[in-house]
Amino acid sequence: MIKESADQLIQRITELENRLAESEQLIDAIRAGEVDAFAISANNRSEVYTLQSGDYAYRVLIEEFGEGAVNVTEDGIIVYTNSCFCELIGLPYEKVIGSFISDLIHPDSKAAFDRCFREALTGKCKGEIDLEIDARIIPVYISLTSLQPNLATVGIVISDLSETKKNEAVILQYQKALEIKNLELLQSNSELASFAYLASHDLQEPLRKIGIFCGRILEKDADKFSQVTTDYFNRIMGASNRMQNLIIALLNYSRISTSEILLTESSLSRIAEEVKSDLNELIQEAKATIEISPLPKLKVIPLQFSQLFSNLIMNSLKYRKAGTNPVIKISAGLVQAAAIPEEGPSRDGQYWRIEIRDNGIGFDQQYADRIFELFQRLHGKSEYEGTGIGLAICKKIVQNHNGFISATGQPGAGAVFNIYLPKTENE
Amino acid sequence: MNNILLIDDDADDQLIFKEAISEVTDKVGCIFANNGFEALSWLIRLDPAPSIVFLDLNMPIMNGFECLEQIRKNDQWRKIPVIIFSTSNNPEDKRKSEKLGASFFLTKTSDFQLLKIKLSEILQSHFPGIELFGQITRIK
Repeated sequence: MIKESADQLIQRITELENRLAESEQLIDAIRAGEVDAFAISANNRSEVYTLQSGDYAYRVLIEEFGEGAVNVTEDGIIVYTNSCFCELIGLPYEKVIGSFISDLIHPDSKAAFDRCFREALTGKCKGEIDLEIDARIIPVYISLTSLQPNLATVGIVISDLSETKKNEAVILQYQKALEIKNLELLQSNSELASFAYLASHDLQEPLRKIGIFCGRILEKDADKFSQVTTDYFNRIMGASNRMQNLIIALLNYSRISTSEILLTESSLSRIAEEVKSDLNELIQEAKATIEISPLPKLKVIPLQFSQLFSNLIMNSLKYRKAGTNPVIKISAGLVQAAAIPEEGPSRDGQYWRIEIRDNGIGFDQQYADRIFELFQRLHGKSEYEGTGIGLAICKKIVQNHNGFISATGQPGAGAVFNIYLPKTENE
Repeated sequence: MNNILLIDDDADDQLIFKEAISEVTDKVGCIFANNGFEALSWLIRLDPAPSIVFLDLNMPIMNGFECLEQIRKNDQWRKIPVIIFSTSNNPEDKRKSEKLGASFFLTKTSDFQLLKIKLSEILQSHFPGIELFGQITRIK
């Protein structure tokens, strides 16, 4: 009985030892990835999870997450692929499994892939390469991760870049086309400006001669002419004078557009005071008062700013209200871009606002933009003389300073011109 | 007799200039050159050198700036006052000619009387006591 029990015990121990060995082998196999299961060491014992249930979520995820995924051995053999990758390269599952990943890579990308793969054997690596399948090139983004120590393989997630690359190419094409257009525009702009300059310079010459010789005729032989002929000559001279003034103004305008932009830190107060003293005669004549509040020191083109103030003051003097002494107030302040009531591109940061306010005849607000356009006039020539270029020059000057100008007015209630200049850090 | 030299390629302007001078005084002789190059060959031959040079800027062969540079380089001509006589009202042209040593900038005008006034002023300041035909006033 005892002997029998001892034999039985030995037999059972042997049985248990065998089962232990089998279990250990199974766990090793799971660990090595040869069996679909998880083996987790915890509390000095191994817990085995078969993947029949546990892996379900992951498999679905890998299948459905929209990117290609493969699992590659150290030798480069594909041992797992999801259907997304098969679709991407257009090969059936059976052909992908067991093939060498290097056979799917474009020759120009092989070196880069090999380097990345070696790196991933002990860590991670990412990059862009080209796949090539049956002469079809597919640009992809790859992300490689070593699955060691659990698996002696490298997991690769492969994202198709075809669409992105196509879009990039289109964008690049548009960008190039835009650059060319820009260049053409710059060229034609500068050609136009120099044409305007040359044309207006050369156009002036014959006019000057017409004026001077008409004058000579009247001077020498006026007594030989009838009153009507003298009147005609005077009209010819008047017309050629007006045309000359137009051309001179156009010349000034084109010069403002072509001259180099050299910014100098200048006291706007000083410039405004200088303009005021230059225009003293006109100001006295109009019995005008010009009040200049302290203005900032800004980086500007001094000559242009002087012309800007001069044109605006002359504009206010010209359109003064009959029977009222003109008062022109020039002041400045800082405003937030968001607070500027002006349509146009969105702006940010702070702006200097220089305000020129008068008590003249004003204008209808619906013409606020028109007054800055070349040759646009709101009044008949007989009412107010002028070329229609003065305020266009103002606009051009402010644009040269990366700023903008606006006008607000009401008939009979004066006009306000606002010059906005972006504030730079040091101002 | 004081000689003045006008360097200008424009025949009309030469005529206007000549008439203006002749209506201001008969004590000044005018010499004309059609470009800077011609002017330099005049300057080499003229003895004494002209007392004042009137110089247009925009000319063929040798323009006003180049001519002014040559005049200022030559020891004999260096002190001759050069007055720019041009249609240009470009401040850059003004600055450039001042830098090259021009003494005055006279803009060509369509007002003959104004030209006569300007010329009398210039002649009076360069030839003190010169006899003029009379005080020239501008007729409106």
